[in-house]
Amino acid sequence: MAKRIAITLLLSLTLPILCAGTESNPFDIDDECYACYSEAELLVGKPGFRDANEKLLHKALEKEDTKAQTLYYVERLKNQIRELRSKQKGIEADDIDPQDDTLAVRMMSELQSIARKFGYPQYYYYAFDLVQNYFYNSHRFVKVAELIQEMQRVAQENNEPYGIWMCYRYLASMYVAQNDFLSAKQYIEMAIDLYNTTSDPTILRQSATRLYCDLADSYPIGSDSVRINIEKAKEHRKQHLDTLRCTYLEAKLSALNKDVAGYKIRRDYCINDKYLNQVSSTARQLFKNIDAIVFAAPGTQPQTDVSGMTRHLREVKYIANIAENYGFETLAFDLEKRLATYYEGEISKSNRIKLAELDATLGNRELSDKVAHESLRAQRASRTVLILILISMFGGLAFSFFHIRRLKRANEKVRLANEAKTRFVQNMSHEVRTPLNAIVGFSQLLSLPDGSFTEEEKNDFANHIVNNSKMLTMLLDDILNTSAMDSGSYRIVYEPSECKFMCEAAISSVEHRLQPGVKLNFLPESEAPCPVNTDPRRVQQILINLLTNACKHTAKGKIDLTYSTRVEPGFIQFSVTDTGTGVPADQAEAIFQRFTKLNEFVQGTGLGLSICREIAGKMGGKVYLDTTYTEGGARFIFSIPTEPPVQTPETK
Amino acid sequence: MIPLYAQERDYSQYNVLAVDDIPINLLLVQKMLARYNFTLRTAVNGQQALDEVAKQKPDLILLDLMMPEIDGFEVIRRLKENPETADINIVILSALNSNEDIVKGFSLGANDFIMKPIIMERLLTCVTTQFQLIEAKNK
Repeated sequence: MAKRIAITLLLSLTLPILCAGTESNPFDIDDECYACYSEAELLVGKPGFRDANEKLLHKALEKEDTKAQTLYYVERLKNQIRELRSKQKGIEADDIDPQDDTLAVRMMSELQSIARKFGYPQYYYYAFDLVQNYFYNSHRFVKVAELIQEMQRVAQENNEPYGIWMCYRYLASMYVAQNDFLSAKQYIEMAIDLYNTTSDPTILRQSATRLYCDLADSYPIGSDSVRINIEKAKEHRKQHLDTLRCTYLEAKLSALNKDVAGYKIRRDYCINDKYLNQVSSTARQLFKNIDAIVFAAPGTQPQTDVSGMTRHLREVKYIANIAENYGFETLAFDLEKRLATYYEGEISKSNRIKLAELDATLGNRELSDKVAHESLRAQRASRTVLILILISMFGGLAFSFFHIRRLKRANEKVRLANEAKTRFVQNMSHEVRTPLNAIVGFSQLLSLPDGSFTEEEKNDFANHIVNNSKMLTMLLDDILNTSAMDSGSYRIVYEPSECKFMCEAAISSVEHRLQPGVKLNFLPESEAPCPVNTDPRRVQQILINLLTNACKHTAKGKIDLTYSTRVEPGFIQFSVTDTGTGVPADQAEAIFQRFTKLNEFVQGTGLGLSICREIAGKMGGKVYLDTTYTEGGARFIFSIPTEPPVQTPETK
Repeated sequence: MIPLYAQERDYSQYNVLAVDDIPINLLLVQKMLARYNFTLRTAVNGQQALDEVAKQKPDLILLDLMMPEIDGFEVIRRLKENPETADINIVILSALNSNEDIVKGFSLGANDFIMKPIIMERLLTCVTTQFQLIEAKNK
């Protein structure tokens, strides 16, 4: 009795401490943002979620916390998937509206592009995780396999160990769920190896607890290795969720070992935890079923409802084992039977047709047979053999399917590049001919015998020739710059420079491009000298480019050029604001891509902004459209460090 | 450099419309044709060109092809569709120079095609030739 109380006390003391230490803000985001996040997290899938999440976004924007902004997208995707799942309840896998999948995948890509933009690759992969679960839960294993393949491709392309590590984990959990524990164990061990040898901070920030928990789960229930790995998992706890996860496994183990008291304590700890869903969505149901067995009155046969849990095969397996241990052999047999029916029915039913289809279209029997043969080695029971052949055939087919898709994609890339080139040449022909037309035309007029035109007219003609020659030069510069950057021969030469001078020089080269009635104002932060160590020609080139764009798109009003050293320490921030046609918010990034022109009838190569961005990047600065500026027209921001970046491998 | 047969002629009865979305191109055409005394109006896009035609029917249109919204090809198509305006002579002035574009222009009903950059003699002879054709047609 005393021992029992001691355990209770120990648990109730250590657990809250562990929670308090880590639960406060595991994401390392702004505290107010975290408060909003926690609120949204609890409301996922419930009414009021949207408002809570919007609040998170506003707070994140207010605090300029990019991680919290990313979390907004994470929560949005989570919620969407939860909604889709409840909408699809009771619908056969084959009857699911394909638009649902499109929606989920679209939101996944949105989260992924945000995660990439802000530099949080872990959320890039987490997006895969969420959508994989979505497909997994509706038994669409081919789609899951496809996503894992895609993920592996991205991770290998970007050389991100984190992505590869996640792939191991997903493959492992897929095998665990299929009861192929040998294959699962292999992948978990690979993940643990990678964890122990990597220096990738994103991986190391994760805790190894999850891995050891998965490993524990990969051994037959009741084996000694389960206990050993749970102990290891406990040693590696970092977050509250880790503790919860370990306690959850221990609860199951206690039930199996007939440690009723231990089971009760751990079960209560889990049930009372608001994050339990993140550990297992069927945990509550599982405890209810185990309760039915553990606390069943003598002589009664407990009824356990497993229909809702069948997709968590592992959990049903636990209940079956526990039932057997407690002497409910009929129940255990019944559960095993249901599992078997489930394997043979559910899993294959939804995929058999698909498999036949894939098989017929790809005709890649040999590959899938080979993969199937490989997997055969890892089989233990005849039932799992069947499942594994199916799974590995899916895998093999998905692989070959992917290989073909990859080839197609490469082909498509080449075709698009060719098309872009053709478009470029056509466009260039027009772009070159327009200034050339003015130069050739007005030169002819100037060469007419005296008396044809007044002196004033002749002056105008000469000016037109000069301006259009400049335009033609800029055009050629743009093309040559782009090609120099592609070949890596682009030079940046740092020297002491002066902001005001660079601005004035840029203004004087674009003044003639102003449309009639438009004013160009230079509004420096102060009259004081503003020295900067940079490449003045490149800075001027960017300023001229931005100002030229402003001139082209501004028919009335004004254009303001400013600079400031106060916005960001160590940086000078130039801004060009106009009252022109503006840029739609959804085009804010597209305009920085080569050959992108918002209005194809405004003259230009469509190269200017992409060049600006590349040059600015080489100097350690950046150029972007200020999307927070909404007063009509557009504002472009260009900032460069006042001193050259320490590492300048590009400046050779 | 002015064709001899064209130097002493009086073209004051003619009405010409020049269409181009780039103002400097219009200015150039105006200056090149300044020596003749015909009426020269301008329009900066396809719609304005059609409006000008509706206001007063010109004898000759100098037409650019690449213009926003209603492009040159579409202007020709609409003019030829309408019996009232189908007989206006049309000369294309364009930076588009592929065979395909030239053939398309002629097959829609254009009378001549001048490539940019415009060579002045080419433009002057072309315009005066068009006037001669109109005269011959009216006789």
